[in-house]
Amino acid sequence: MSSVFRRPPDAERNIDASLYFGNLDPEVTELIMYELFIQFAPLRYLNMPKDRILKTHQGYGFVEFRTVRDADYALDILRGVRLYGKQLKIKKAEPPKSGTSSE
Amino acid sequence: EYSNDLSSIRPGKVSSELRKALGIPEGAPPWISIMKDIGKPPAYSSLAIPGLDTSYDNDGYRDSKSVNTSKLHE
Repeated sequence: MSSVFRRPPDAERNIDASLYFGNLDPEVTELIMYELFIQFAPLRYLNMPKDRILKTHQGYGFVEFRTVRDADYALDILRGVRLYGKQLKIKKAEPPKSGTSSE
Repeated sequence: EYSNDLSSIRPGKVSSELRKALGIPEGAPPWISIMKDIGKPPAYSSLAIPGLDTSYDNDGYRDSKSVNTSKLHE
């Protein structure tokens, strides 16, 4: 069952295999981003946060691959790609800031 | 709701929607030439990639050993 748009449990997430992407034209859809990313590796999860009322995305999203290597490759190869004329902004996802401290 | 759409989306097959977004009406997508420099995607290292391992077509990456296509695909 394909559930790439369904958020996996936090315990199963791999932030190191995740990328942030942004500077998206409003015409870009989750399906287009799914199709773009699977050219480079299978996905575990893809999400583009939506405006609750307008149901439109807000110009950015997150994608999680199966491995760090897959994410690094996608990051490398997608630098400079333009969608609807807008250069894709893409970088490693940052871990959510939590209250945990190692000190 | 997405499952019907997703089944037709495969690596190596660039839809008209994605082509429109990329601004390339036909031919190999721009990342094929980058793959020539940096190598194939690790996840698909065993597959034949059109434009890289064979002449370009838009029919998807293929098993390089057998000509067996995905059995999940009807």
